[in-house]
Amino acid sequence: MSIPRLEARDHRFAMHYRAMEKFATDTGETAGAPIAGGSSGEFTVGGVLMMVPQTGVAPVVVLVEGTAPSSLRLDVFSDPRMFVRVRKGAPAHGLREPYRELTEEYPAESVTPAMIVNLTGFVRARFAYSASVFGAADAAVFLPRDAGGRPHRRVRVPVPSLDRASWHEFELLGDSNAECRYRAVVA
Amino acid sequence: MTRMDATAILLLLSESPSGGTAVLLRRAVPPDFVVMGDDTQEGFARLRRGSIAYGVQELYQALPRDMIQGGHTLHVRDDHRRARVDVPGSLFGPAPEKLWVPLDDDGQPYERMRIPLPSLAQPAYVEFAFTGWADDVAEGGANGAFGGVLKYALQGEAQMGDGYICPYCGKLCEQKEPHTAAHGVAGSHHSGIPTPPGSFVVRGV
Repeated sequence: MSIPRLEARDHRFAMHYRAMEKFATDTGETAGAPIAGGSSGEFTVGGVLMMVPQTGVAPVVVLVEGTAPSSLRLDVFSDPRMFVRVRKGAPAHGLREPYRELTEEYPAESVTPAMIVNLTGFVRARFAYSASVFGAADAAVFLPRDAGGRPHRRVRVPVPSLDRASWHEFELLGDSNAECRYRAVVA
Repeated sequence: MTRMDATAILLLLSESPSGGTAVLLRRAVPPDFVVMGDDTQEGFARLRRGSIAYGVQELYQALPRDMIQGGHTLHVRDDHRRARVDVPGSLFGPAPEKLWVPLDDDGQPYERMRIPLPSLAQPAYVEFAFTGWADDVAEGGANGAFGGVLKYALQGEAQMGDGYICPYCGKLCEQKEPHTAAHGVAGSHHSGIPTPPGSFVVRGV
């Protein structure tokens, strides 16, 4: 079957998608607005991992560069929390990949995690449009630090796409020891 | 022509590693609980509160069926049927065989349906047209299991709809105000992050 391409077809559509996405054919334009702190690196997210906690806490999202690991341990709270992947198969571009927290029947110590998220290798961040991108306005987002240990200056978060991959693009607005803030890239 | 504008995609996360079940919702308010309406001993509870964030899948976590005794509960089999659509993996994830779509008030398939895509500020969607029932019983044809399987074909490309998506909660509104003011944040603020004047449009290619 011939799959239609996700392209701008009329003026309104073109305006919108030019506004909200950068496509895979991106040539690497730079933003005009000055950036507060951070490195010059750009981070293209490969997977949006959605932690589903057993208790009612704010949802936790982990952004990773590669594919979705089978299990993950969060070492960012007072106690380590272990999560395992719910789905099978390759992750779909732009769709959140759900992870379930292990219950008391399967204590965290019984599983060796494929990935460990801690504040040495990851930074906590808050994103504009968080509800539209991650499904919750209060989502706690963790993304890897760059090679220099600093937050990435630009982050591209994948968007579900029919044919050609597309992303929302964000830039670092400011960072502190506790949290980085990212805003959508503006003209 | 009957058309259903889906308000949300509910993703039911079963205890088994099956990849989840996707259910299209046509009501404005998401249910607190979802049950399939069969003899399975599993129900599902919504993982978050608040209004629907446009285009973003709503996650539901499994819990024992007998724990669901009250609240707003969606019984899927009452007015939904299984469906096969084009490009299911891109829209619902890698479990396309587990998609349920609503029937209209007369119990008939909608001739058209629109499925929301995650988008900023303005709503995007893709449209599908009903092309008939699956004719092979093995895959749940009209006389097969599940009460039949509907077939929908993708119509064209992604399109833009009318309305405004709140940058704070993700809800689709007719216009920006007074909705954003109700959050206690000014319309020029995105999730508490001040935006420079004149920069409301997000830059792209």
